[in-house]
Parts: sequence; C-alpha cells; structure tokens
Amino acid sequence: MMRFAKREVFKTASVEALPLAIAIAAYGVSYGVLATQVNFNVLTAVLMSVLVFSGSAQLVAVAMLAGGAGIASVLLTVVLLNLRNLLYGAALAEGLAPAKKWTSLLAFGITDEPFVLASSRFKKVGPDPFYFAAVAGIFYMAWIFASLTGALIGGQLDPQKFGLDLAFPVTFAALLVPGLKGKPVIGTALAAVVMTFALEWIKPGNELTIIVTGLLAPLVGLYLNRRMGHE
Amino acid sequence: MSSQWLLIVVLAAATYLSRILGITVMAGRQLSPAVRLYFNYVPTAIIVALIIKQIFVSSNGHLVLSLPVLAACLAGALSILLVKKISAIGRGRCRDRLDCPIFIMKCRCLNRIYDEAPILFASRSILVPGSRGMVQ
Repeated sequence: MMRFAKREVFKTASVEALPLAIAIAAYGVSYGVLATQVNFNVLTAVLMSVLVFSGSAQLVAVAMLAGGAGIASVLLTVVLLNLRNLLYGAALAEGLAPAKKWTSLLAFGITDEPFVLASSRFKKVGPDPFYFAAVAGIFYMAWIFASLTGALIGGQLDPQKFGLDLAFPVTFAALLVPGLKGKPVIGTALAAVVMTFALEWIKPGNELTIIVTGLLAPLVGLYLNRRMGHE
Repeated sequence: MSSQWLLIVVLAAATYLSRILGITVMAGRQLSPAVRLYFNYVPTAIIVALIIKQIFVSSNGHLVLSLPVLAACLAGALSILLVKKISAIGRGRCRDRLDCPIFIMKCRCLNRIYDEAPILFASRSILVPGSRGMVQ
C-alpha cells in the first residue's frame, strides 16, 4: 500500500517536473558551453553542477571568472544570490519535516524550481518530502547530464568563430527581461545600471562593482515599493 | 586548475549552507516583508551589473562601449519578449482546452512561475537562453 502510494507520488512528481526539467536541461547545456569558455574542463564543469546544483550561482560564477574576477568576489556575489535560498528553506521546512534525518540531504535540492512545485504541493496535500525528493532528483539529473552535454559540445568549439564571446551578456539579458515587472524591480534595474556605470567609470575593471551594486541597488526597489504603498 | 577546484568546493559549501540555514535557522521565523523584497531584488541588481560590465569594457583605463555586446543583449532581450508573448498566447489557448492534460499542466507551471518565483526562475520556463542558438 505504502509502495503504491509512493509510486503514485513519483508519477505525479514526474509529470509535473518534466516540462521544467526540459527547460533546465537546455539551460544546463548553456552553462556547460560557457564553463568551457573560461577554461573549465569537462570534469570540473560537471563537478560544479554535481556539487553546487544552482544554475544562477554557477552561471554568475563563470561569467565573473570570464571577466577576470577573483574567487573572493565570486564567492561574495554567490552568497548574495543565495540569500533567497534562506526564504525557500524557511517556507519548505514544515513540508519537509517528516523526512527527519533525511532533511539535511533534501536541503541540497532547494532551488527555484523544486521550491515552486513543492510549495504548491504542500499547500494542496500537506507535508510531502517524497514528492520534493522526486522533483529535486529529476531536476538534479537533468542539470548534471545537460551540463555534461554542454561541456562536451563547448570544448569542441572556437569561441570567436561561433560568437560565444557574446554568449554571457545574451544569457544574462535573457535571464533579466522576463522578471522586469513593476516599478520596484525596474527601479532596481535602473539603479543597478547607474551604479555599475558610475563604479566602472571611477575605476574600470573594479572587482567590487557587482557586489556593491548587488547590495545597494535593491534599496532603490525597496524605496519605490514603500512609496507605492503610501500612494 | 587548483583554484577551480577551490572555487567549486567553496561555492558548493556556501550554497549548501544557505539551503540548510533556511530549513533550520530561518524556519518558523517571521521575516519582515522588506527583507523578503530585498532578497528578491538582489538577483536583478547582480544580473544588470554583470550585463553593464560586459557592455562597457575597460580599455587603457577608459570605459569603451562594446556595440556588438550591446546589440547582442538587445537581440536577446527582444527574442525573450517575443517568445514570452507567444507563450502567453499559448497559455490563453490552453485555458480554453481543458481536455488536454499536458497543456493544462504546463500552463499551471508557467502561471505559478510568474506568480511566485523570482526573476531567475521566471526566464527558464519560457526560453532557455541557449547562447549559441541566439548568437547564430
């Protein structure tokens, strides 16, 4: 009976995760290709996916390395990016609680996509760590195999010939645009443009630009959000 | 090479720490809406900073506008907007075709993404930024 129930949950998880897994896979291929452009080999590119399992963190890390950033500034930026994981973990804690000692393992799967699917599932049926494990597992496998594919392809290409030097900005523009909704977010983006430009103007190639902008520009968004609330 | 390994280990540790701290330390705590919003705006600011840093490159101590990068960014952004528009039309159709389980599921996922997830996730379901594909 228990096994049957788990099979059903896995089936539901697979059906709900599949469309997103395809998208993640394609995204992973992009990461793999880009990683090889900053001198990661197939092993290290895939190892990063295996150990980190965070598309945004990995892409930002390789982009910053491509721009000549040091490990410390990459780490600080990734820490900033990871702040949202705190929110995800807090929101999912109750739904994962029945997993008890396995919770620490399940925590590894907390990323954007499993968060969205699992929080919706928990709202509907209550705590369901097995569902979360299934969804996160599917995304994890998709991400790793896609990274491997991308790294294998990327290693065979000449970056200049195939225009891969333009891949980073295009990737980030594609990441940015869909989220630009509402005055606070747009205000954050515009503030980030001004701050980045100003910091780069003062000291071109400044390693702190991204960190300072990441810390300060959201305050403009917060200010706009508060002002909208008072209107 | 060894710095790459170090970077991977450090990033893995930092990322896992943020995940486990969320479940253990943050669970049950009431965060102020301002902090939540701040966390959600951070990725936007970082991505914009990364783009601008690549559009304006440093050359001999001066900032130089890279037109190819700017053009590529605009093309990428416009492509995404176009695909988003088509995807929205598709979602509209799906709501009329409630007999199709695959489309319903996909629509529900997309709607959820727009409603609940922050920026980084939103783009993935719409178009995966295949760098090579776009450049070509």
